[in-house]
Amino acid sequence: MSLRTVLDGPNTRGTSDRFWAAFGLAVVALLGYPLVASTYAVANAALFLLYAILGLSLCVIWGYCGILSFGQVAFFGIGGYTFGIVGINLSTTTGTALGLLTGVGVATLFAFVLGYFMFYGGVRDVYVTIMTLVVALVVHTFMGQTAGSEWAIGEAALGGFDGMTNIPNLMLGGIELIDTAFYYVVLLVLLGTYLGLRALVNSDFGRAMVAVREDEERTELLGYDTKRIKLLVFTLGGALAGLSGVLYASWGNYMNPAVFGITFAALPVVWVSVGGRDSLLGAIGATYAIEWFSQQLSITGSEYALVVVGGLLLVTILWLPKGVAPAVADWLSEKQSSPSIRGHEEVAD
Amino acid sequence: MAAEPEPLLATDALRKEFGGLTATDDVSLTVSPGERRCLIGPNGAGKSTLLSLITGQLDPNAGSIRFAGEAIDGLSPHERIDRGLSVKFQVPSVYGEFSTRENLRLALQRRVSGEELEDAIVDSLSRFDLADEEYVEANALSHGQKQRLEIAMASALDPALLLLDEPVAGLSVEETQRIADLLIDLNESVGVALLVIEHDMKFVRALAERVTVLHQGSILIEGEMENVADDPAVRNVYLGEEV
Repeated sequence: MSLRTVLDGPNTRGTSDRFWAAFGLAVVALLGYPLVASTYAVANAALFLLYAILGLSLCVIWGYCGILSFGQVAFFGIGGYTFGIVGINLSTTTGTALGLLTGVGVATLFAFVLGYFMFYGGVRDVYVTIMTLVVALVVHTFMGQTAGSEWAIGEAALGGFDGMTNIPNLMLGGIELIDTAFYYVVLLVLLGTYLGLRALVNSDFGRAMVAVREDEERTELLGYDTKRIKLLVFTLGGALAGLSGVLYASWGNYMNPAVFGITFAALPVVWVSVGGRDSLLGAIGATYAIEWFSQQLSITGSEYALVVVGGLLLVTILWLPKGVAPAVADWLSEKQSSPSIRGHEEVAD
Repeated sequence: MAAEPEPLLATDALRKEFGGLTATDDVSLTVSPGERRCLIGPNGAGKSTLLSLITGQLDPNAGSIRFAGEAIDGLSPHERIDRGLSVKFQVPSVYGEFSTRENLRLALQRRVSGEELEDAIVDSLSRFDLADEEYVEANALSHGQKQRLEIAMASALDPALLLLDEPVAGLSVEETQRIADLLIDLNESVGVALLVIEHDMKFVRALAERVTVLHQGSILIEGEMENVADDPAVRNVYLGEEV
């Protein structure tokens, strides 16, 4: 089986040679970006790219399995805080690598336990959304009251609303990941995540995930254990959000409870809605574009960044309810298939 | 006469109540391996409820179900499917946004993979006469094609018992005959037992070896179609009069 047969399938839009050529060009451009951009710009780009992993974490569970989690930031924050706790206490190469593993591990476990009680407890649809949001807000409140000196784990003080400071940079193979090195690691992790998720959604399991999204009862009655599928996908989403959180903590050397707040919790939902729920690339592109745009607004002194982002969400929902990426893909395939006779290739959309 | 073979499906005094309404009233129904059985009765007789109890979509208030020699009470629907049940819903229930091929694949990948899966898809497409619709989105299929696709999916699991809820509702005479031929062919070639809910008496006559009549949640009579059709109680029920 060639790589393309694994990566292409009915659950991803871009499957043509032209798509992969454009994809290759985009990757080369991102790889070359640090050569032409300032350190500051590269650091910002690294932030947007690591947010894109958080965006993907929601995209895969919501867009591909129909589970709208409003609490992906809970796993993100737990991953980041856990990395901080381990990293501060063991700020060596092995220590931060262990922090990475623990951060992702704890976030994954948390998602698994929450998912288990929700899905096997019969919680469905909008109640999952509400419950995940409530979990994030409860963690927000809890972390906010950890200002006292008794709230320290080893050397790491949780710090209440002031947050946890002095989180070390991630070190891998003896190299401290800052600036350009950090950017490249984030880019590679994102690339790996994207390709891995493409392979997943086009696999037998991925097809079953999408079937659960489309009609859970029918899927159960084809003999699929739909609760288990939902739990596995939700847990994977938690792991990816946790990974994103670890990278975030290493990026800013800082975590605070705002990551569990409702404003930040809404962002992944906005990114994925705008990009297109069932488009992995749409989620990445929208995350990057929206975060870049909202940062530009903040830099230029506008305090309306969030209002604008909210407005963008409304506009998308009204005019492009499926999101930007699917609309672009439809437009491209129409443009391509109408004058030519190559229609058959596009059928797999 | 030889000893009765152990039934494939046996419900024992199955009861389901919705509030004050008893939808299934102590139903004891058995289906033998390889049998073609139709379940008929006027609207509200409790046919679909009985089917949902068998698949595990509904839990009974009392009674029990054995399938293939095993009690399946309390098992979730997918566990019952794993044991050899399969179902086609009343409303054609295919994945509208998937192509015909993807719909079939989703069912077939449950038991085969790789090249075998490809072959099985092609076989299934031709057997159910859907080869021309392979890449058509299921939403765009005609009603009859959707019915055939869903039957193809349900039979793709290679079940011992196929439950079909009104497989020919809303179909033309030709399509109805086609479905009857398909089901008889399936039954004779692979030995799958059929339990079919249907209102179309012509279809029932063509298909059923035995008929069970449900009325107001309980079994009124069971037997061969000719005997059942001549039964005065059945005639009364179908004329809408109280028995």
